[in-house]
Amino acid sequence: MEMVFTVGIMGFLAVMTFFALGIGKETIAGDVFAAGGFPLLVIAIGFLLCAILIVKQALAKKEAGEKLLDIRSPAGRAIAFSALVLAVYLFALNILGFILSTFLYTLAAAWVTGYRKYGKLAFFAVLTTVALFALFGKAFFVPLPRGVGILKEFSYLLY
Amino acid sequence: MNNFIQAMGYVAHPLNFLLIIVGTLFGMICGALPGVSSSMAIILLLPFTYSMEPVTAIVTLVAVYVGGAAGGSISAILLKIPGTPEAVATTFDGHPMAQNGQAGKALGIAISASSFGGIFSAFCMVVAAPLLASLALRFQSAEYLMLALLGLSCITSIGGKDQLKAMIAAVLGLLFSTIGIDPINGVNRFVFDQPFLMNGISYIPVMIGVFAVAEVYKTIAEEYGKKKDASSDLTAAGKINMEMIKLVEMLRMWKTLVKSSIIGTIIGIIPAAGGSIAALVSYGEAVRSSKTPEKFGKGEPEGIAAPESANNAAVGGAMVPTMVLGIPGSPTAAVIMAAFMIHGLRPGPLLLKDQPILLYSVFIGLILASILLFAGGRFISREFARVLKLPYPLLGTLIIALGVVGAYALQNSFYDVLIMFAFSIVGFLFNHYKYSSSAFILGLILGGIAENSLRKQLIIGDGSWMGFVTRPISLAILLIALLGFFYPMLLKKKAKA
Repeated sequence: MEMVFTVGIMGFLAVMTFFALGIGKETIAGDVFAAGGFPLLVIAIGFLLCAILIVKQALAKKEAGEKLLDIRSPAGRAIAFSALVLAVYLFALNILGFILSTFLYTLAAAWVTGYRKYGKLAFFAVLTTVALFALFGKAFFVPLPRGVGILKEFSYLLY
Repeated sequence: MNNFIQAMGYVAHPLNFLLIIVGTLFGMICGALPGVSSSMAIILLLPFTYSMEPVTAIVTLVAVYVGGAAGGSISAILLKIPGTPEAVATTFDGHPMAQNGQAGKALGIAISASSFGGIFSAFCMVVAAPLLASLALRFQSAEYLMLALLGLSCITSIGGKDQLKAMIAAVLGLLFSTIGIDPINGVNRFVFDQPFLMNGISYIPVMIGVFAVAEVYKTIAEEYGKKKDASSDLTAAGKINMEMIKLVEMLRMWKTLVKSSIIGTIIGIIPAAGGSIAALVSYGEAVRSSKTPEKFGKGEPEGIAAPESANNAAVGGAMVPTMVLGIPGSPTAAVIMAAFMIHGLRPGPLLLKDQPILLYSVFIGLILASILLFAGGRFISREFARVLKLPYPLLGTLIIALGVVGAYALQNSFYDVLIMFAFSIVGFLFNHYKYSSSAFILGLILGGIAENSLRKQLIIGDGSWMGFVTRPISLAILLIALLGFFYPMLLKKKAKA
């Protein structure tokens, strides 16, 4: 699996090489690298290092590495669902607005990671949302996401 | 001497003294919150200074700067989220030390070192401001490149057993730093027609994703097997409170403290360099010169003392070119320079002649604020530590929510939040396959400076590479950087043999 990851990095570098070669080469006198030169240099160094690493990994004793994410295990599911809930939260920020989406996210994220005391969880969700809103929205004047439609209109009452 | 006594009397005035206390505390609180930097703290406080005397206003804002530079270490140590860019290097050893049950000690070392660095640079500032300013003018593109290489040279130290993987991670960071508009030719690089990528990728959302959020994923897996309402490991030892580190313990690290403070002061005076570079370079130097470099990254006290003394020393250093030359020594100093203008002060060679007590007032304010860090540090870390008593599902959720808002607050951009999320997955992969996230961030932060300086020097030299070795300061820093890069690799080979 480690070698697969290293090959994956090489693949990424190959893709970046393709784009770097397309960067314009026009530049001023003395600029040996131009705009694409430094990225290409860095990519070349990256390829070299990855090649050395792959050789080392191939020569090393093959140990059964830990699986990246075992969805069948409770811990693996917790991580996967945490990332999924975070993704949904980010998607919901611009739709539901900061306050509602943060409240719902706090409930959902703690629940998927195993917290089951619902009363305390609800209180924590309210406290977290209020604290973040007060600190960033009010004290630091950060224009937090408002959501759409009626939620947007409602948000103007608060911030 | 007369001016010094006048400045002392001015700063000792109860109202001015109170403002320094308020400024330091405010700076520490803002520094401890991810996404709220020292610059933002100063901007927020700036309107409140309009009615103040000019010298009072500047001293208050400098106190905020001092507080912000130190405050970032609190969340870096307790939550592995650097509160400010200056605290990136503090996470390398600060958080592992906290995980070893020594959070209070880590905080104590960070604040003590910050205090030392601030006082050191204050003395340098008042004794040698014009001399330091002339040194700053000798730093050109070649020297900037070598400074960046010096910072990158600590990759092999950070990498520990996996030096090759650390180098690959740093290379990836360097590559990501090239995303955006090329500053020399104005050409789009790796932008893919996305306007938000034109300004490049800000390293703060990346840091939050790679360090904090990825760490939460990792800890969820570890904690899931434990009791559901178990508190975080950081509180396993009991109540966390910032420990007052004994003088004897600090004196044991005197070489690191002095060296890092010198590095911080010098890098601080270099225009636009700032505390984050000072912290990274001094961390690398601490690792290089240590007899036990393998202990770094696992909770080594010097790994906290070095970057913290450097980033606070950079505060005093940054004020030197700002006041003496009218050139901001750091991005935060640029905001303070705006405050100068608002209050009718004109930074430059004539400032110290027209406002003789200003230099001494800033000096005394720096020292006072550095001493006040202890009181502020105890209070803020105690409050932060309350949060750590939460069961990990709640704490992890809070960290991620704070990270999301912190990433958003940086530029009020949702794209920064998406970048944070994307790099949280990268950080998770790095953690699993033992690639150094710290080396990746190092490459990302220093890549821009390295590339720009490299190309500018080549343009100045009309394509000649000799400029990098014929300039004495550049050559000296290059040699130190090469030593710093290869020495850990040689040590590792020696250990294997």
